Amino acid sequence: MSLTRIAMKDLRDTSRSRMLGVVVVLYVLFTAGVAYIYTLIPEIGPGTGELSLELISFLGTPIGLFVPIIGLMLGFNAISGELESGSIKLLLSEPHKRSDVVFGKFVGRFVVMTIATLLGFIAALGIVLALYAELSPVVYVEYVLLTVLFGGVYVSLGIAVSSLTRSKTKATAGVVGLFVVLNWGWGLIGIGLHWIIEGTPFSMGAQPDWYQLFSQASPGGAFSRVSTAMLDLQGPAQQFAVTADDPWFLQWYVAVVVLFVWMIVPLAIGYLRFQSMDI
Amino acid sequence: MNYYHTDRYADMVSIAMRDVTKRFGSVTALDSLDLTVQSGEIYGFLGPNGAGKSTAINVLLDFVRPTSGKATVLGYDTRKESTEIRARTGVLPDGYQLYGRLTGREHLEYSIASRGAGDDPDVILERVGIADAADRRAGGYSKGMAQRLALGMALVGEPELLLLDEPSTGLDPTGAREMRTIIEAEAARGATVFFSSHILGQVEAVCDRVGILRDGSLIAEDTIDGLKSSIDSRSTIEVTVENAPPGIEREIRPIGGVSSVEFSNSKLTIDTTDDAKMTVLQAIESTGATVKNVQTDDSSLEDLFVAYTSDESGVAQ
Repeated sequence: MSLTRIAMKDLRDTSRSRMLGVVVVLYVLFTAGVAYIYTLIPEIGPGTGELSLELISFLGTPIGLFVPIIGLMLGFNAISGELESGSIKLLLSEPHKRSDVVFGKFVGRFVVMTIATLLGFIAALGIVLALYAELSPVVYVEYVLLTVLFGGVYVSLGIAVSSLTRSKTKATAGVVGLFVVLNWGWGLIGIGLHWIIEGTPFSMGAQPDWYQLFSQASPGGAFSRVSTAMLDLQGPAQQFAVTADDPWFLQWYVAVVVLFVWMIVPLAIGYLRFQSMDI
Repeated sequence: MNYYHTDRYADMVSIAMRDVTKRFGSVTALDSLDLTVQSGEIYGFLGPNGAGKSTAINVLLDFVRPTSGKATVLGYDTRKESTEIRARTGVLPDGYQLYGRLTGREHLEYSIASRGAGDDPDVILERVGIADAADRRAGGYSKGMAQRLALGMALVGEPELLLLDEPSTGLDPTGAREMRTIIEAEAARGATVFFSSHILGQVEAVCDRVGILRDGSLIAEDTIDGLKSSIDSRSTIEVTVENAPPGIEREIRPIGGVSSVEFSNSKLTIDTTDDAKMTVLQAIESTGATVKNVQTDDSSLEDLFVAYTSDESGVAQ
């Protein structure tokens, strides 16, 4: 009940942010643009039959970039912003628990994130259906759900950062740092580890199991692992496919669990921090 | 004065703080504060800026956790039953900001929904005088309008207790008067009102009792009349003298009842009890000085407040 109140207030509030609006519009345009470019490529376009599957690997790029940005933007000011301005005192003058604030804000912002995600997918779908008639609806819906979960991870990460400081500037620095670490730093660390353990920075062909596990332990890596599992890879790309012979920890469902962990743990950190704070 | 506005909660205690200490790092904001507010009274919480008034209110709301000590509001423990407290308390916090992207009406709708109250936002907006700005985003509100809206949010659901932290902040004299009218109306309905201020005049007119906070402790607490009578017997006399020997003030200071003496430009300013006045004048004459003129000022409550809360106070000790 309390949680719903805060979620609804937060939804109203954040959905009116102009900066967020600009980023969502960019994201939708980008997604639609990628979908359009995809339809222009004859080898994978018309007549290959598996339109939506290939589309998914195309959409991975704008999603991998914009969903983290939108999610972190939605989350980073959730608590620090209200602490800095003092609006938290109005929020908590009503009979809500601190947990209602953290989880209510997560729900409110997660809803905004999901709406933004859906707008992007609807735009892509519109373009593809306008130019081609083929689509595998089940895979497409699965991919949308996966992306919604991916968005939840970054909203949660943003909220965790915002619970660590009461300064907007520091929270901004925090999410930018987090974005860099998770999107590029993780891969660099992987290369470093590979170099130490295997003696070379990269492996040609199939990757060692530990390296694959490390890669899919990041939110982006887990997201790619699950989306790759949805694709029926052909030709040389097959080496990236995980088969039933691979160890259990490389299976797609482990990657789904990884995403849930990335969503729940930061939120729990945010809750524990905020719970013990003087406001 | 109307000590209890209603019998409804007459034998109940609304606010009880027992030995509450709060430290922020090396700064002690509250120092073993003991405070009791009876149900139904209007209690003025006075003190200079930085005395710890907001910290005390924040402890009552569980915004801030005490380093030691215990507080209850309406019988509920502030640490364990905070939502029970806030469900029955209307709050006008200090140092808040409105949600700039939400309208005045939406702010009230949030409060009403959060409390499950049946209030009509328009009625409240009318009452606090911002009905014409109801559908404007609060980001464009002036400080005074913001304060009126926050007061409106505090009134939602007819709370048993109103905690108002510096309610007159940002209000013009008309606004401050309307605020006072609302406070009195809420008290008349049976609510306990606890409000803080650093300006005595705002407290004097409406409060049944006043507590004066300084450096995190209560240094005086009484009814306004009680505080007044404690200083009625004191006054400040200004004596213009001629031929005063140097160091005349040192002759006056030891006299019983005198708490301070200043001497400059052939004028002695002496703070003393009424019955010591004659002794003082005789002592001046006996130094060889000639008294040319005597002027007496009765101490006002304002003087008392200043005396209590400023550092070189002679009264507070």
